[in-house]
Amino acid sequence: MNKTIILGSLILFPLLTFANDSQPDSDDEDYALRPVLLDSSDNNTAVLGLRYRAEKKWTFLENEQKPGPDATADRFGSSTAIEQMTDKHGFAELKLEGLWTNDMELNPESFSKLNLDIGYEISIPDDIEKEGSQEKDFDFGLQFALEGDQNYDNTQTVSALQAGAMFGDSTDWYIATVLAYGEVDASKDDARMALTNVDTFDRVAAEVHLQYQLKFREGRKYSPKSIAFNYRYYGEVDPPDAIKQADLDIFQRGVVRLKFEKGLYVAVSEGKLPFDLQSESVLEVGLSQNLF
Amino acid sequence: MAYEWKNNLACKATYAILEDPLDQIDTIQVPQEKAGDYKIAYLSNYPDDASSKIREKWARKISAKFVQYVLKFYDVRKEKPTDTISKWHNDTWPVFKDGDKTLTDLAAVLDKHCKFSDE
Repeated sequence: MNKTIILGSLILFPLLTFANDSQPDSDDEDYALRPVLLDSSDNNTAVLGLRYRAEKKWTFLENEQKPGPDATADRFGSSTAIEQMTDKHGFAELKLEGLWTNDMELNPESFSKLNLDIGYEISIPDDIEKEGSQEKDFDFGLQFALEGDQNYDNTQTVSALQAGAMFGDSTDWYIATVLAYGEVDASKDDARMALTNVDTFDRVAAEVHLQYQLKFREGRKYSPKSIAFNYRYYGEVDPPDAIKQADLDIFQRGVVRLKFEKGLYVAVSEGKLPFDLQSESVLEVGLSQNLF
Repeated sequence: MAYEWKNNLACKATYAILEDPLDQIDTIQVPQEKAGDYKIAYLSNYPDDASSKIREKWARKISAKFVQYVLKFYDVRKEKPTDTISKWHNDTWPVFKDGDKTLTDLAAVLDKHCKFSDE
């Protein structure tokens, strides 16, 4: 078994035991399985795929917020609403996500991930009564991941430090980012090992999400509601020449999504993620509808 | 029994706050009586392409605003003496994080924690 998985398990087990024994804590789970139609610039055929995601999160080291002095048995008392909704907690989160297509060669996003994050988060809401009040959210911690192509035929493990933050207004425009720096063990990635014998390397990873609400032509059936830009970057630090020449040192991908009413959207993506061997433009038209 | 979208104050308040001031629903396209099945992912600012971490950050923020506006615009009492704003918020943000939840799920959480004074 890989050392990253063993290290992750050793850290996760006592944390989950602690989370189960201490109060107040909470569990949160989420899953999604959605059909998507992908039209890649490199293939003349549209590909039907399934985008999947499953995740479970445990929180611990959470302080129970006390009601304000104006709270009674009958009334909430809103004088300390912000303090009561300010979250400071430790977390452990397990996630599985990817995009599956019938023919892996046609998958324009052949990047799957099993991920364990362990860290601490501080979340401070905006006070609606205060002019200029800002929403703030920060987190930091460790990441252990198994990344692979669609079928996990080629894989790599990641151990990294990571931090995230969000600024702006959740109902108008906002920007959120996650940064990670750590070591990758790519000894089970055949495409890389055919080019170099350097099987471990340092990597910088980043995600930036920007969302902006559109407020023109409201009430029209096909007026866009918002536009979002999501950018992910994975860059090898000091890569060998063979990896640079094969264009496997930097993977980056941007997605622009125009969202319409009732779940309709058009998304255009450009670039490649780890395990994608060539950069592609993909047009995705879909409906935000889960199968189960 | 599963909660149903109906003409009560929990459903009306959920719809009204998401429409204005949160500005996430177009009332012309989505009338209140048909909004029960409306998914959280359809809200204007739901971060569809973002990672789970970013979706949670957004959910915590919009949930805190939602709770504050309910307290500001409606005369609500606790459903149980042990209810707190913190517990209500901690039940609300996971609904905002999950794009497949609906406005009915959001109203169910509101109804679980709040009694409206004229009901």
